[in-house]
Amino acid sequence: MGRFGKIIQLIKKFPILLLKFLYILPFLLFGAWLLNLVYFQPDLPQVEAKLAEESTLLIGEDHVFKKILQQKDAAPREHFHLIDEWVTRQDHMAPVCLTCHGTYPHSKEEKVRSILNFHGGFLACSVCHARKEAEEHLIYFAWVDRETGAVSKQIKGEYGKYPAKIFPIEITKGARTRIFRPVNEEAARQFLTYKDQYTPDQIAQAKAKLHEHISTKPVFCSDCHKKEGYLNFHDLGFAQTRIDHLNSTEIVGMIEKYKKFYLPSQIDFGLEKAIP
Amino acid sequence: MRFYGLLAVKSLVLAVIFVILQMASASAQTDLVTDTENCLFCHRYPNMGRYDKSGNKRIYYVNEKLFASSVHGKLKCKSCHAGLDQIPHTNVKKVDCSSSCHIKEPSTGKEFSHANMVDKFQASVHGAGTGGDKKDHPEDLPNCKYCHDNPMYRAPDGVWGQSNALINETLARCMGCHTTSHWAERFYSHFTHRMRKRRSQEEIVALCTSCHEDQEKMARHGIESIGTYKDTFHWIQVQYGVKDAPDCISCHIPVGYSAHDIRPRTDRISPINMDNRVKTCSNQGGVQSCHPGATTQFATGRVHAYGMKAQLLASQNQANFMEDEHISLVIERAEKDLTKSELFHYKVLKLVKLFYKILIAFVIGGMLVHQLLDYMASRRHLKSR
Repeated sequence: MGRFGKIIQLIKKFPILLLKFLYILPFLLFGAWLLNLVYFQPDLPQVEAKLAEESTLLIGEDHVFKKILQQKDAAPREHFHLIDEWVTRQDHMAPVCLTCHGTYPHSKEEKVRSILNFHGGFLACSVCHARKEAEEHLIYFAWVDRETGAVSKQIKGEYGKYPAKIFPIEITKGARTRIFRPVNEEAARQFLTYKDQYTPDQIAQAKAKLHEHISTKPVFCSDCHKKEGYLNFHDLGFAQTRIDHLNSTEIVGMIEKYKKFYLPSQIDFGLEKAIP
Repeated sequence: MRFYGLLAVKSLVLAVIFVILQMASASAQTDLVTDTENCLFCHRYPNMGRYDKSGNKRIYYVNEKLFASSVHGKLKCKSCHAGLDQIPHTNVKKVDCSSSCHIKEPSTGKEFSHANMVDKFQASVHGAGTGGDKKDHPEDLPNCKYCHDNPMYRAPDGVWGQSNALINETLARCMGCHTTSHWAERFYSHFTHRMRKRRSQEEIVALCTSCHEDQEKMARHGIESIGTYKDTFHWIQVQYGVKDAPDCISCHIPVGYSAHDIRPRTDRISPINMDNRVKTCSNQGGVQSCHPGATTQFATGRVHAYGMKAQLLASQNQANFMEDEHISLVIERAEKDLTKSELFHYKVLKLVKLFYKILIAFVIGGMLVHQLLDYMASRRHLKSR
């Protein structure tokens, strides 16, 4: 039998060898696990070395973001009021802006940041941050379903708990419509994927390019919350009583007319009385 | 004349503000909660919130239905968020659970407050300390909100929730005198809410271990991490979903003790103090009697496995670790906590462990050598045929 014949014989034996190996494998794995359990569990020096190492690392800057990185729950541990699915729900039609700017993108204006942030729950960023320019785009506003992306002028839900979000809809040539997106979403995703390879200058340039259609002066409270304001609440399907409420000056006046709006404690609506 | 003119203007301004707020109330007011300040005008929107300067996520959304069904659902916002009187709320103070909240406590007629609990808590192992006896690293210690959210009243279970008929009959009796059904149902929920554990065993263990498993945090306070509980039979039972399996509360806060008043085991009133162990293990007087026949010998045995303290004390090279402030604090506590006999037991256990390590090495090694020799013999035998 030549070398070729031996190779053929080995190939013929291979299935049996494989079967034997598969038979013995669990025993080998069990033995390895047992040995690890008995001989390689951390004992005092390892435990303490690890503890000392962790203490050192925690002081260092490497763990500055430890708490933020460990936070997985929708609400922080010490949040007292119960939250519901509206805080945690996935928004499949979320604007790409939120990928970088987060759920609460407004932080500068102390007076209105939280109020602006709650608008993010039912308005796409582009509604306020890409002012419609009549000469450039023919735009109207409509509800876009968070799940299906269907465009509608009918409103469902109430007080920020809408299954759809208001988006600017652009009427293109040939009277076709599409969601107006001032930021090129594909380019933004590419930027996020490859930004580690860019120099700081390139990153700055890319950011400027991505935000080129963002208005320097976004739509503010008083632009919408007035009669014949920036948004046509009637076309968006709001009931007349709600439109009257949205057009009233309560919030706008509170924000724009007063540096601080004092809640009158003199007429504290019966706080001093015990509730039965 | 000028005085009356100014007065008239001021009155007009106040009247306008009043009308505006009433309009806001009319448009956004709800019957579910007592929101006369109309806070839900803004706070009902789910995305209301921001990130603070430290990067913490602050959620300002309040679900009115959940709040209305919660144990605090009858309170006004200002009852807890006291002093809040301007927008933006830059003058907001931290909620103080020990303050009075304008609800009359029916047994005394005084304004209700959690002050009693807060005082006990501050003096307990989890509190910052009282008087001049303050603890180091107060930032590690839990506050009220660390363990408590705003719990909802739920449908009763257990004896009181066996059937809707029982609930209806009981409520019907209440409503013979207390004719407001909403009030009667709420009072009934308030009462039955206290008749069962709110959290499962896993949730309790998860809550306690969220701090007590943090080795670094525990070392700062001279205690070892709680990994030792997870070596116990008690934890195995919890993992297998055994009903009434003991969690942390079962032993550390048994019948007659308060979660807000946990004491170190050296304290004579602690349920895990050696003098109280028999009572704790038997849990007499409670719904569940764990070890009714517990003897002193049984109860004074070690529940948690030997942990880092015993390892450190038994170690020959502990001096190497003494330079670390936290480790030396653990050793200091270990010297107080572990008796000589316990240390002797630990050393015996270590020897037994070593014996088995050697024995297992010989058994497994011998088996491998035997199999190898047997295999070689078989091959030799096959060749010779």
